[in-house]
Amino acid sequence: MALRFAVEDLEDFAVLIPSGRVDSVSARDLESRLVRLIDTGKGRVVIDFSNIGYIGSGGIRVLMLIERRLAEHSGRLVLCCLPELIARLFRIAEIEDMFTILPTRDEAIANLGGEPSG
Amino acid sequence: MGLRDRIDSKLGRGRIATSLRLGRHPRHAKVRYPLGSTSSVTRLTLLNRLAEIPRALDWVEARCRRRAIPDDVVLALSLSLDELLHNLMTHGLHGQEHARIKLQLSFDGHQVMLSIEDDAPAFDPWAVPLPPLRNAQGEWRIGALGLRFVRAMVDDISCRRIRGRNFTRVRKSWREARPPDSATDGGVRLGP
Repeated sequence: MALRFAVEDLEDFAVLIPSGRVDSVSARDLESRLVRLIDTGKGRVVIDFSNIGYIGSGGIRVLMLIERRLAEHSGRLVLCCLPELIARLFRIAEIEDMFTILPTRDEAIANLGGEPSG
Repeated sequence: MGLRDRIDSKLGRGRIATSLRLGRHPRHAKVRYPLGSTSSVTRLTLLNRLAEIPRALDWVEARCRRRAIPDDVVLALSLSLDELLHNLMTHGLHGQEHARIKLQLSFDGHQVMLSIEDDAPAFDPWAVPLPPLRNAQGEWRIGALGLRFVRAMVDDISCRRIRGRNFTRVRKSWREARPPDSATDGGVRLGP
């Protein structure tokens, strides 16, 4: 299942909604999509995980790199809508405290100072 | 010897092989045990290329979905296969472009076995010591995270080395979903 992306462009920040599987191959697609968002001036990014089947170690590595890169430029990365199976992987990797993780997209957007949609 | 006997005989010796021709994409073969058994075996041969990993994961997911295997079991198998194949292709078989990797999925009752056969140097993902996730300064590092995921998600991993080839087997089982029980959840009990 190829990884696909939808983006909600909310002026100075963006919501990335990937769909599919973040495996060891498609993790590079996730990285390049996030880097492209940052390069276009998005310093605050939400990733909505509600359509993600799983994320492997390659995808976790991408999240760590992007989080560091944003933090170096006073940006922020917020994750939301993690299915329980993915939340479990975060606990195994002991990274759940390294990210802001919120239950809903609206809460993630509000956390970044935006207006919740709809 | 009848057809079914011949299939049994071949299965017993593990001799049903995937045909493979260089320059063509490997074919995959599926073999079912005789009627009356809940077991079945399906096989796939991969080229030693990272681009083959999504095909292998699609294969696992499709075969599992066909049998209504629970989502968490499918996830555990897919994740394990992804991590083990990536490790194999980028380390054990790195640079060996003609190498082939054989996969086998065996379904038996409430458990699935995933087997990986390759001719890389011996490697046991169950035995290798995992480095701590944090260094002395408390900083997180990603080393061996894939293996950590595999060990956490499956029931067990076994590795054998036979005639210069590795046979890695991952097992994942699950409990049958219990129907609502009138004695424990307040449901309606039928009959006398």
